[in-house]
Amino acid sequence: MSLKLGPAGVPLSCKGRTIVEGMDDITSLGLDAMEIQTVRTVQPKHFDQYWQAGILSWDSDLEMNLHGPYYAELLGSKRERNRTLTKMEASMQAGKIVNARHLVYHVGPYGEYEPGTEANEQVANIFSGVVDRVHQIWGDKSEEEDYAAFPWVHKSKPSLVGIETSGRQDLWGTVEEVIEVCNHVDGTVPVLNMAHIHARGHGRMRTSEDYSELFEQVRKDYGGKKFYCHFAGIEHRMGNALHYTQIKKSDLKFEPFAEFLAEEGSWLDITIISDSPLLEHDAMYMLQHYDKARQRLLEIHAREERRIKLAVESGMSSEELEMLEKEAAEARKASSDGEVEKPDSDKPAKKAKKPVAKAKGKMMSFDKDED
Amino acid sequence: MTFGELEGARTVMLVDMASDPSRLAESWGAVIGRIRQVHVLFIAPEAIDALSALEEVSAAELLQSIRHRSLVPHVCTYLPNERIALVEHSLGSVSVQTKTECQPLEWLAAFLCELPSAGPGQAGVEHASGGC
Repeated sequence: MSLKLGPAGVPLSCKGRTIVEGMDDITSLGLDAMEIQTVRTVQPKHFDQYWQAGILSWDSDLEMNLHGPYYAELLGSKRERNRTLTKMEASMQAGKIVNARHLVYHVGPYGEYEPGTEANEQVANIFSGVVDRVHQIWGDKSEEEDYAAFPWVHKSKPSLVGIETSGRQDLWGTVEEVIEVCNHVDGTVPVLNMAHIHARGHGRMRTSEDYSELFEQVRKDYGGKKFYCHFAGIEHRMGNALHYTQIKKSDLKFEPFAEFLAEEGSWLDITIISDSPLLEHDAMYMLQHYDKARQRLLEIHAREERRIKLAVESGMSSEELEMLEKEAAEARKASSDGEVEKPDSDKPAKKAKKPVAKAKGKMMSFDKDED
Repeated sequence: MTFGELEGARTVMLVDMASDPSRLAESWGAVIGRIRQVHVLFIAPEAIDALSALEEVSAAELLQSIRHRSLVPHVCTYLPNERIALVEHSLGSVSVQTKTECQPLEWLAAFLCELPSAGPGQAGVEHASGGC
């Protein structure tokens, strides 16, 4: 499994304000991805910063990604659509220079369209054009000499165009809509913004099974094992995202996602971007939880292996041994309950200890066997 | 622009006119790059017209449009001549006339002071907005 984690922007704790300084900080934090945002055409003064970021990304394992305009109106009037496309063009140009692996875009409000096939077709048409434009920008042979110092332009594949899920009912971008469009347009990938999916689904991402279901749905309907996700805490109401919060303060927890990744995520090649207000702090928090989940899983496996080994040594089946362990655990629990229930009795400790001794007696033989 | 921090993670950003107006687009770009980390976005009254031109929305719709587009919890301004505070927040909109006339930053200081105790709901924001 490949997991890359990083913040959406220059880390808050970074003393410098440039992308390159941000990348240095991210690397030193042990993170390995970054998403940046461009809002206008790449001007010469920004160009220096971008190509330095591109070279650093090419020379290291730090994955660069780029977020398009923070707001889009691709389903709006012709004027609105063109305005959005102009802003998207800037991000496509910048994506080439910074060696972005993903360019992430929103679609925006449904506008005059009703949710359904017609809206999806329109979005698919637009993104088909966007993918063509990205390929055109990356594959311009006449510029090969100009870009000799940027090997990724010729050696890497063009950026993938990510279509992000939305967090409000009036915006295009349910998981189903995104998958449908991605299925129809080569070169696009779904961007699963967990906070948006959670908000739009009235708080649906609660357990590791919910994540399992979501990834299974995407795997079944879209295929592939590469995923690009956003994660942040979110406040939501009536199926609409209100605002982002740090993960700890939200009802969207990272622990179930970490559990899913550790237990069932071996097939995934996933990048998770923290767009929480705490940026890199929450990215680190996610990394820690993922490590903890993996550790817990390793412990479970180790316990399981030990049980099998003990069972073989004592001539019992693994199931019999498990049952015996359960009995012992129940006995332990009963004894501790007894202690709680009789705190004021004359000899609570001695009475309560009896069942433990019994349980220990049963287990002792195995410990002996083990020795 | 100034950053201030409240309750650790809460960030207030002040957007006023750049000393060189031709660089407003660049400054606004820097704001947008950080917009998801901002909790309260205060737009100085003199910057409203320039920003609405940049965002291609009317001045009256600017705050609401920014709030919807960026999901910043509170987007606000204070018009000192009319003594009107305008706040677009997660749960609605507030337009309150303050009792006394004050400077925009005075109003913001009073708003930030009241907000934590007033609460995030419509009534709370309304109460905090009329503080100065």
